Amino acid sequence: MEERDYWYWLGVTEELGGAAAGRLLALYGDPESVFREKELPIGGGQQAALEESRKKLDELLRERDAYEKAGIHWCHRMDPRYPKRLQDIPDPPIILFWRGELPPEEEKTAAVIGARRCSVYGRSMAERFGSALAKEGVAVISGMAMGIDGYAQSAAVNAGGRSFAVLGCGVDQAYPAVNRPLYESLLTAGGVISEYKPGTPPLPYHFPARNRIISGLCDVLLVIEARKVSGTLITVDQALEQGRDVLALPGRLDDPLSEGCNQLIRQGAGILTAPGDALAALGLRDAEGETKEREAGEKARKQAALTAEQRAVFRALSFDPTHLEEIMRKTGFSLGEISLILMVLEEFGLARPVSGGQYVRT
Amino acid sequence: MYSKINAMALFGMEGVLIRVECDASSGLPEMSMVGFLGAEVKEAKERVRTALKNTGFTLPPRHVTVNLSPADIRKEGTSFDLAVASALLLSAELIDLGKLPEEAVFIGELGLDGSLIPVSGILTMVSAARDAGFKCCIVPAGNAAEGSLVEGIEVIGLHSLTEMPELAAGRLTALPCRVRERLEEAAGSDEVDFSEVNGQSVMRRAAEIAAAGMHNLLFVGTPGSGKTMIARRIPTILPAISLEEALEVSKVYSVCGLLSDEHPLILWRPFRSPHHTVSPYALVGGGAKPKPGEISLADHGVLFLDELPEFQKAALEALRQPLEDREVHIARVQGSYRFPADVMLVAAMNPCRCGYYPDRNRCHCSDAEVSAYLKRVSRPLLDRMDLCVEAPTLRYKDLVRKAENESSAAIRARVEKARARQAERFAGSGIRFNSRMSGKDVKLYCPLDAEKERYMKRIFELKGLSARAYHRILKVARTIADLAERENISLEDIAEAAGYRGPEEKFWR
Repeated sequence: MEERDYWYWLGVTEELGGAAAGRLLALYGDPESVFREKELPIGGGQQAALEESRKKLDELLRERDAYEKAGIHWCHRMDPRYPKRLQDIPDPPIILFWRGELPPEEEKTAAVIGARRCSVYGRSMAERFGSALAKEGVAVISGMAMGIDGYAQSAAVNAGGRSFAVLGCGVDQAYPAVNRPLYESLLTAGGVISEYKPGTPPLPYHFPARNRIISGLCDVLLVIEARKVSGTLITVDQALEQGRDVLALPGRLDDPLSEGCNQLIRQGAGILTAPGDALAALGLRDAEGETKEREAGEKARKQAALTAEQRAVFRALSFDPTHLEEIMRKTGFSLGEISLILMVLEEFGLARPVSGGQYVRT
Repeated sequence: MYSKINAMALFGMEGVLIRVECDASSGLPEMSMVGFLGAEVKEAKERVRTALKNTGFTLPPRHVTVNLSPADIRKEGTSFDLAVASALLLSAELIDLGKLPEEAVFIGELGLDGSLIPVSGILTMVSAARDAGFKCCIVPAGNAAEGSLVEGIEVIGLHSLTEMPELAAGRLTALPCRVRERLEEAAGSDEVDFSEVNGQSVMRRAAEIAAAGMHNLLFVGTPGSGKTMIARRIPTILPAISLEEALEVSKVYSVCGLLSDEHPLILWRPFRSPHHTVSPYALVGGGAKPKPGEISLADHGVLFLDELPEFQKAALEALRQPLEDREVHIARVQGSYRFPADVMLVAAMNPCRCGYYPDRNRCHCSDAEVSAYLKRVSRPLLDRMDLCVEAPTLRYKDLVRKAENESSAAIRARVEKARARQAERFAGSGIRFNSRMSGKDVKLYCPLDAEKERYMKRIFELKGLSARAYHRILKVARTIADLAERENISLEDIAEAAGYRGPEEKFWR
């Protein structure tokens, strides 16, 4: 038995739960002592369950070797590969599993998080920030959840950058299933990380715990959209506890999806108006940096290239979904003409459909 | 004495000629009926005897045998009473019908007082009699109007058995056949009109295209956005119903017993809107003795399914075969039945349970709920919907607007022009509408030059469309070009057609 074997045992023994294991570790100094100590200061039921798991150590280790063969890596707190960023958060995970890679220490990281059921505007913004950060070489950390998380990470990968997902289940599963394509692409363009051993199902109580790793791994936390009471705000609390910078995207006052963000700004969070703001928080560039200009320049160039008719259709669109009916009314063009122009706008990346008959600017 | 009278039985939508034979001979006074009879036909014995007695005919006490042939077909229904009574009268030599037994078919149910009670399926039976070469049909007076719609055969209505002597003497005359006049009178007198629809130009446009090419149409939208209102008006922009079509539809209604003396003919294109609790059999037809379902009642018209995802899965799946074959086939031990089902399917659905998706401030369904709701309509059925439009929420301004909207007649004129172009193009090919083109036909009739081919490729990559969508887009584009009276499909037509794609495609989510 090596020391790392006892670490593994302590890390995957679910009976202890992450917090209890951390406490025992602080009490006894190293996992081997915890393993050997028969009279631990924990409840009787836990005690018995722990005794069972001690007997199964060999089996656990065989399982672990199989994971390693399958390309699933792991490290414990004392391992040199263990992320430095996590070492100084309260309650760091005992062990981490990952596929792909872990976020490199020398690279800047930003977490982009927000509502699962996001608005069309939130999606556009998540994609915009995800892709802009990726182009600047900032790794995007998030939870690969539906909505903002997934959109920001997909955009980062599509822009040629790197992204890392922290999961609430084992790293061998793509959860939620709709983000399987993202999961696959993360294996080569970043990594998927979890403190739960492979095969663990995505249980509800895993997610708040997983959020502390997201905020722990990032240098700056960007909140795109959040309701007043939401998991996103739990992550923000943890980020503040861990001493991370938090920037929130301002939203409209009557939009429930922006209530959380606006409240954060009121409480003193940084305001996110352009990717430059995030870069400034990372110490990469000043707030009035070039990205803002370059982004604006790119859009302006594309818009300038439009014909008068195309511009008329583009003007009829906004960041809220606009129905074809409305576009017809505003421009006076026929449905055929509008369809033709919308195709061009879509190809330019200036517009996109959100459902059967509604379009938004991007 | 032996006698023989012609009668007609109904099998699904077909009339089958039945001969009612009667023989009176010496022996114990008794009457027996044979010939593979259903319970209601056996009971004819009592009905007929009593009816004859009550109308003043006294049958001599003889041994009477009645046979309905061919004896290997099971006879059901009450339409044989009149034929049995007439055969009894003939064999008892109480009446002389002259040439009628050879030239006429007798159809009708009897009451105990001798009165004739209308039966269903008259139109079908009278047409079958004409096709079999008969000159005359004797039917209950209540069915005479319906029967007289068939051209090329005389139809005489009887009120009661008391009129038999007059019939024998040739004093009863046939009703004139006024089917063409009736249709002409009805043309253009629809109860609803498109001018009542304010705003909704995208939905109106889609309805027009669908009507021109007989494309199936799906409306997706919030509750109260006018989906049902527009669907209800689609029959008014379809070309006026032709005589053949009117008769075919009326036959279905006749078999279902839905025609009355006042309204013996279906004069307008049917619009059927079954409730979403409808059973599969009620929708496509069925039962121990197969009857046509809603899809056949909507023949040559519109079958409208409101709240599509709420329909039973089995009912929706049962629609797939008729939509493909334009006919319903039902197989039974006695034989297989065919009912017409040449319909335009119009369906409406909400985008999610609450109806407001993708407006995330009003819609509180989770992504999983939205996709579960959309998935209740199977992919194969969605594949059969050529056009799909999202209904915008109505603005108050549009709701109260008094401005003159385009009327159904104006739209119908354009639809008819587009239909004429289709008829010219498809002459001799057996296809009637753009929507009926097969993959091979699309290649033949919708040729694309290199530029348009490239454009289609771009659409595919951009929108992530499925291969099946390819033909649907071209068929719809062909109809749009026909409406614009263009010989070749233009880029605009393709772009517009590609915009009418439904919730099965990726960009919806």
